[in-house]
Amino acid sequence: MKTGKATGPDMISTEMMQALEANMSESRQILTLSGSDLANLSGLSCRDAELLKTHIASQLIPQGPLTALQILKDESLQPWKLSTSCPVIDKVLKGGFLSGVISEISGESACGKTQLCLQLCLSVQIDEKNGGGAVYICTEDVFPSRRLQQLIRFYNSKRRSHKFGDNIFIEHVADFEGLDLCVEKRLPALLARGMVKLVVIDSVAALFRCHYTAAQMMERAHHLSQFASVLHQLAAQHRIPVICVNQVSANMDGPGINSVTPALGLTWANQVTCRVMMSRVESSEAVEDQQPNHTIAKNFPTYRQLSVLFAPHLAPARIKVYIDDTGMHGIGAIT
Amino acid sequence: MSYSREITTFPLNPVVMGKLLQVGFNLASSLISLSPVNISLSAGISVDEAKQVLKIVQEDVNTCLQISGECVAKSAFDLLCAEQEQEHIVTFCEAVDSMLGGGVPVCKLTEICGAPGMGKTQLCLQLAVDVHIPEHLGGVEGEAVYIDTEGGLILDRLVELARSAVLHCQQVVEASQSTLDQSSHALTVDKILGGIHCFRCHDYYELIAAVQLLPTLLTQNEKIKLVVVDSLASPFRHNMDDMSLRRRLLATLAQSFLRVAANFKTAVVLTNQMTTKIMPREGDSHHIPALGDNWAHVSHNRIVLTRDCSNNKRKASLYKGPNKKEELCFFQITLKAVANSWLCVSKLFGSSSKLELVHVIHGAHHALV
Repeated sequence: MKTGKATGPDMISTEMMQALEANMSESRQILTLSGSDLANLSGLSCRDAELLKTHIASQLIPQGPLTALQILKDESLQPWKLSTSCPVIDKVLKGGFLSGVISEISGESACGKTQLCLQLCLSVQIDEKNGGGAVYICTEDVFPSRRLQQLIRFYNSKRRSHKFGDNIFIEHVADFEGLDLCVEKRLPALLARGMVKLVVIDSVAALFRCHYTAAQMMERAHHLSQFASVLHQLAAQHRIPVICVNQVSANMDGPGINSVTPALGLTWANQVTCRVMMSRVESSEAVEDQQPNHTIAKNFPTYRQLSVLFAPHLAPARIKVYIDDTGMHGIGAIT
Repeated sequence: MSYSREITTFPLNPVVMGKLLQVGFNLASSLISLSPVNISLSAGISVDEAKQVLKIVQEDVNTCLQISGECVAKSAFDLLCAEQEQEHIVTFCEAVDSMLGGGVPVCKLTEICGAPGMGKTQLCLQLAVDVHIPEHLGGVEGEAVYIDTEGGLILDRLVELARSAVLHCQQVVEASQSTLDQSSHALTVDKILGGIHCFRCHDYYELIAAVQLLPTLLTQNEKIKLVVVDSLASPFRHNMDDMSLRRRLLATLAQSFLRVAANFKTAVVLTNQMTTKIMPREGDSHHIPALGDNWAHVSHNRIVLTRDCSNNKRKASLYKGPNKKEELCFFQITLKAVANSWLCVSKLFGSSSKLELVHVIHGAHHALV
């Protein structure tokens, strides 16, 4: 939005707009001036300066405020939810992962984070209304193609004659240069084409944890918030869910010896809207599947657990999950 | 405040203006301090014309002063009366309400700080719903503006809270068998949702723009009693390298919020994130509210939400408040499943600080019973 094109209210002469333009590259920058600063700079009266600011503000938010009722009635104003293809997990997440915000899946190694992400990459393609392709950015490991093929065989029955594999864009990133290039340049270009409706980063922790020493925590925090701000922008602009996988670190103050918290600290946690955590639990009790269609081995010595840590619309909850050929499935709530 | 409007921008007689400019009166500020006679002598215009000029300039100065809020003096007694009549927006959580002296006060800035997942957004959503509670049930019967910068305004949750508030108001009316049930029927989920005006702001420009539009919106809609900004911190902490710009913008915003709160008698609720402060000597670190020391001066009430490590309870503590001493209370965000549906109704409720949830207020606030 250039000032030249934005026509001001009647009382502002073109000379004044030119004078302002000399100082401001964008008209929205006028908003960053206080009323009296603007009055001094432009020679307008305080009152006219306020009017000018209000005028620019209403240009920046052309639709004005919407009531919650209007948003409720219009689905295009609300975030959509990315289903996980498992009714039990969806129920805990009240429909799935939210679009427009960053969601996090954290957990120790081998607890099923990547499995859930792969499943999301496929189930986003089943959603015909909001869905589309997926981008999968690997920073930790090689992309598990073989496992993906196994899952695709199962998903083919859900949407025939759809080439699931052709709609997943995989990017391997090994350093920050690659990550920044990918997220700031290549991802926006790809998203602009409108085919991609999901971004998975597996994982954010890998690079940020190993590239900074303890003395560089300030730099790390700065870089993290910059990185998250790009993701926020992309998520909001294209109305897509962004899923970030995170590792865990040991929690020294918490109860229990084995308690863990998601890594990357408060800086990252502030950026995350929904936080889901997965874990493995050693247990001797038998796992009973409530859905008879699935055949699973009973008496698993360990089971996996998915818990919602926080989200604006969800209550903290925990469910047992298991993973088989066809993906991850929830079993039931843990009380 | 400096006042520097050019003479040429006033609606003056061109001949008079020409004479004024000739003798060097370029700015209106140079005229204000002079008498009409002085002006007429130096510019060579008649005294009547000079009076006319001064009148026009003085009017503009007055409107400027009004805009900048430098208004007439009030006696302390007037202020006391006003304060005693001050309304509060209840949170449905007795402990939190009494900590704040009856709820979130109107005409004041209340800041809610907390790490993620501590319930800041829940408290904001709850307040946006509670502001609609009718007057005869102890509410303020107003509307709310909700400025969402983080995407935390999820309609599902708002509908849940609205349903539970409506249900609760109905129960209270039925229990008291009051004759006022007609007006309470008016409180519906649709009415609540229709009275929450939402802005979704993605960066600080949009946030400033939304705040800039507030006075117009509040003039048009006098029912608005609450302005929520959830969160104030995130647009100023994402990717904001220029710290002096940040400080300047926050100071300007603070002025706007204070003006909105005072002029329109609304409560302003802001949420803030937490940040880690490392003690230079001990190398120790602890969590403090973000946005720096300058911002800390702004809000009237500051509540910090934390979680007790030992018993995993949610804790709210009044960190700063002009009327109340520092206090601490526990609260919960509860879920109450309604039979035969997956809908969860939740309310904030709590107990007094020492008793640790001994008496659970069953979703009711004392003002309502």
